[in-house]
Amino acid sequence: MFHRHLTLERYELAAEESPERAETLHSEAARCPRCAAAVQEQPLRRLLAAWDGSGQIDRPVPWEAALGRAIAVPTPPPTGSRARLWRPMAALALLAALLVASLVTASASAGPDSPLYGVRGTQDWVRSAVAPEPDRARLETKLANGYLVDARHSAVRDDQHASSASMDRFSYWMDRLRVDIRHAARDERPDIRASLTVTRSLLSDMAAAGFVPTSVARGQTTLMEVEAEFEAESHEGD
Amino acid sequence: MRGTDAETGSTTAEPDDQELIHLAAEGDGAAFGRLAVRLGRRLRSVLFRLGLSEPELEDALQESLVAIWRGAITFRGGSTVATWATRIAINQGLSVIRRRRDTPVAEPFLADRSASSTVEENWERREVGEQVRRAVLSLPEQLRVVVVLREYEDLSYKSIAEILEVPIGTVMSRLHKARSHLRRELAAAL
Repeated sequence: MFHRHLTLERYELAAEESPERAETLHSEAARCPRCAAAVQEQPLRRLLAAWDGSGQIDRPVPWEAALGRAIAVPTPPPTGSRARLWRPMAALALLAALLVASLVTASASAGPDSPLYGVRGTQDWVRSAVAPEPDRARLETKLANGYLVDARHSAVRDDQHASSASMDRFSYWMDRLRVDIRHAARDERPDIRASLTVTRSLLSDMAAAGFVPTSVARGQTTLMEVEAEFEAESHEGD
Repeated sequence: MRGTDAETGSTTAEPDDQELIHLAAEGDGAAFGRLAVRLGRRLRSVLFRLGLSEPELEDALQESLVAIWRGAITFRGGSTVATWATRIAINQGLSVIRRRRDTPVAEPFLADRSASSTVEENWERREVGEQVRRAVLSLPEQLRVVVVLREYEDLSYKSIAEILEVPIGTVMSRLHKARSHLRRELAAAL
């Protein structure tokens, strides 16, 4: 009678998916020497563990350096497209639209050293101004946290000027948030609470590291006021 | 997992990986940092066992973290964050190996730190460890990856299949071939 020999891999998979099935296979394997050998305890893993890598594996993770690389302003897209433009006016209009779109995109992550930093600030203000009142608080927490991340990044690079500039903007949005949070939509409160947790965590990290201490201390005070306002509104709504 | 907030005294939930990746997608560097620390050991271990030298490993690890940050915004939750991140690291590691012209660099074997071992035991452990290293690195890449994920990271067949985006049967087949190869190579040690 045809007998499909058991392999260690089939047995292991069965053990993961169904211990009962594995037990059945184990019992059946006893009738075949080859199958029995497959399910016996394998010394391979114990032997493989002899390759010790703890010296290289158990090390800190350089996430800050990676983050710095990741959020660096990207290089502009390569130029050189050779679109044929039959109407010069249409071409100029297209170019203008592309420039504006590029500015808006590039300015979103512009740091204090970038010429687009002012554009970013204006863009943020416009977004806040056009946002409906119930949505403004959530937007302002995101904007504030964005600048706080920038400030931390600049502080890690020892760029005091950039760090202070970002903290100024963080403070600006936190001050706005202190007013707007009382109008936040109920269904946005969980997101806002999560964002404020992030803010607290970021400020704690920066305080512990001694980054821009005056600004961080002021930020922590403002955060406490925002949180107090937030909790007061939350309880009133219950 | 719940923790107590030091300032307010209220209990707060520790964000899970999914929450952290979503926060990172919104630009939260601290959340990314926490996620990176959680995943870091596994990413390092996988890259190390694939056979990268120390400078290659550090570079590939950074590239993996950069890819995780940039990819956070597109992460849809089809797999776990750890699965997705491991896949990224493996792809980075394999890219390094394929770009290499030379065969894997002989790594200086790090000294055993057990204070109670004799000199002889240390030497024997080193020798066996070096044999194992060479045997694993002599495996073709596809087989090496499944050995690393199964025997060193202790992942399930299902997880390995998800990471490599292959059927479970393929994982079993590759692992079987890899183990057969390793048993032949390490017959003396076994």
